[in-house]
Amino acid sequence: MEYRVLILGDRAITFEFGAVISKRISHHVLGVHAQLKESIAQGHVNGIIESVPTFRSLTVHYNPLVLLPDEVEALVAPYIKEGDEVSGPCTEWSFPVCYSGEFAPDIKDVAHRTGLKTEDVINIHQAAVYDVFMLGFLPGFAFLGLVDERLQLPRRGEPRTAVPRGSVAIADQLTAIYPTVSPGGWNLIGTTPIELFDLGQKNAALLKAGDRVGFRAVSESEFRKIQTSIAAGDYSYQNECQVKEVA
Amino acid sequence: MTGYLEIQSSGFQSTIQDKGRWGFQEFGVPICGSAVPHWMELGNSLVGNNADAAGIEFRVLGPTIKAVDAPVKLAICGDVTAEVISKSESGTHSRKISGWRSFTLNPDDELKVGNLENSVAGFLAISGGVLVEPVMGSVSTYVRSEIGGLSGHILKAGDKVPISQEGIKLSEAADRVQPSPPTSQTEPIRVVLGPQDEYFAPETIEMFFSQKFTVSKASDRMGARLEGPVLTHKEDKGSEIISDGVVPGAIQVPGNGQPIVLLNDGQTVGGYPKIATVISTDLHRIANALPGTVLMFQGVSAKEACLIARNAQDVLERMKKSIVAASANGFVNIKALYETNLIGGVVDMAKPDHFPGSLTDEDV
Repeated sequence: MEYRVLILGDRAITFEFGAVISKRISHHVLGVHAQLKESIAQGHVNGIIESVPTFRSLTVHYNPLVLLPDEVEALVAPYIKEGDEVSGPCTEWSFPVCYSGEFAPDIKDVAHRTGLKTEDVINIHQAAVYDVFMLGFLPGFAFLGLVDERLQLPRRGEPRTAVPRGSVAIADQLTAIYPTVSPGGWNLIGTTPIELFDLGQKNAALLKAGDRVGFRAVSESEFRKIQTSIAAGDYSYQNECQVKEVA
Repeated sequence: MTGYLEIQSSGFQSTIQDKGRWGFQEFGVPICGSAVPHWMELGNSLVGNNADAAGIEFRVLGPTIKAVDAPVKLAICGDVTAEVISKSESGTHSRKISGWRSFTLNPDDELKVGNLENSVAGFLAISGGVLVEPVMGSVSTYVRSEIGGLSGHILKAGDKVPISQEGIKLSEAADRVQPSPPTSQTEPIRVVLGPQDEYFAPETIEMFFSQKFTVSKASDRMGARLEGPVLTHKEDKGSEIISDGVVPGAIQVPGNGQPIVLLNDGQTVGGYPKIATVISTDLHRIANALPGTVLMFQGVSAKEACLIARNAQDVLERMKKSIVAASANGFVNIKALYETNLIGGVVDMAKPDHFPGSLTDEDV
C-alpha cells in the first residue's frame, strides 16, 4: 500500500495512508498498528516507543537518542507491507443511551436542523454499528463512524465550556461519547451511564481502535438503574454491553 | 519510620511529575511529565535519585512544604529564592536556600519556595521520589482527567506526599551542588518543518522563520499560544485536517493564524495543520517562556534534531558528573569552580547566583 512519510520533529514519524476517513484505510492503519505493537511488546524494535493509530495514518513515537528518522522508516516499512489484513482481536459493544429530556440537550435542535422527527434522529443513530476509528482528544474519547448522511451536521457555533460526562454526541460523519466533563462543540443527542474511562479497571479506556459500538435507547429510569448498579460495582460490562469478541 | 511532606501552601499549580506516561497515547492519554526534564534529571542527581524519579513541579510561585516524621533530602531546580524555617525552643530560625544544591529538610522544618525568575516551571527533587502508586506506569499528574499524582489533583494545602524509606536514608548523605546550572538561552528555537507545511504558501513559511512571535498569557502545561504575524492557510487547503497524531512541540496553526505549541499535557491527536515541530531539545524553552517572551524559529532537519538531542544528553551527563560536595564553610569550593570553568566557560565571581557552590548558608 502506498503511503506518505510525515516528519513530526525528532520524536515521531507519521505514516499516512490516504486523504479521507474510510473504513478501508482505517483497517489498514489498525493492521500495521497491531503488528508493530506486538513487536514493541516483544522487544523487537528497540527505540520505537509506541504507535498511535488515527483515521488515515499511524504516528510512530521513537527515541531520538536511539534511532535516526531513516532508521525508523526502515524499521516500520516491513510492517506496512505485512499489515494489510491483520489486526488484533476486537470487541463489539452495545451501550445503553437515554435520548430524552435533560440527557439530550441538543436533540430537538438536531431534529430541527436535519428536518427529521426526534424519534427518527434516535432511530437512525441507534440503527448502525459504528467503527472505533481512533481515540484521542481526551483519555478514552473514541471517534466512531460513520454516521448516516441524514444525521450529519457541523459542530455547534458556540462550543460548550462543560459537556457532561457520558454525553453521546454527533458532528459531521462522526459520533462519540465524552468520557469525562470537558469543553466541546459537538451536538449532544443523548447520555450513556457507561464509564468509558475508569482507572479502576485493568484497561482504563473501555474502547480501543478497531472495536465496534452500537447504541440502544433506554428510558430515564433504566438509565438511573444502570448508573446505580455501576456505582455499586455490580454492573457487568461483559454481560450487559459486550456483544461479541471478533478475532 | 515513615514520613511525608505536608503541603502548607500550594504555590501556583504545583503537581507531582516524573518522566511522563508513555505507551497509552493510543487511548488518548497524554504523556504529561516534567516540563523541564533535564532539570528534573539534575535535581534527581543532586539528591541521589535515579534520573527520572518523581518530584514536584511548581509554576511561577513555589509551594511551602513541611517535613513530617522523617527527614528528606531536597533540591530546587530553577532560579528561585527559598528559605528553610526551623522552629525550636530558642525561637524561629531561618536559613536561605539557593537552587541547584541539595539540602536536608528535617522533621517539622518548613521549606518556603518563592517566585521563579526567568522561567515558568521549577522542579523540586525529593530523595527517593514520592511514594505514590503509579497509574499506567507513571505518577505524573494529568489534572484534566484526574490521572496520577495525588488523586490527579494540583497539590493543595494539607496534602501529604509520602516519602520512601530510601528517601529517608538518602537524606543522610552530604549536600551536593551543581556548580554550573543550566543558563537561559536566547538563540532561535529550533524546529523541524512540517508535517503540514504544505498548508502554507512559501511566503507564509518565510514569515514564520523571519518574524518574531510573543508568548501569550494564555499558556499552560497543555500548550503555549504565540502571537505574531498571521500565518494564513492556503485557500485551497483550509485550516483543518483530518485529525492525526501529534507530539509535544507540534506547532498547530488554527483558523486565526496564531500558532499554538503543544506541550506535555497536550492532547494526543489534533485537527489543525502543523506548520513545524519544536525539537525535543528546545521544547523546555517554550514550556518555560514567560508571557511576553519574544522568540524566533530556526529550521533544522529531523536528523540534525536527533543529533542535537544526543549532544544535549551528553552535556547533561557531563553536568551530572560535575556535581560536587557543597562547601560547608561558605568559601568557594575550588573543585566546583574548576569543574564550572571546565564545562560552562567563564564564571563571574561577582555574581553569587552564577556560582551556587559559593553561596553561604546563614546557619553554617
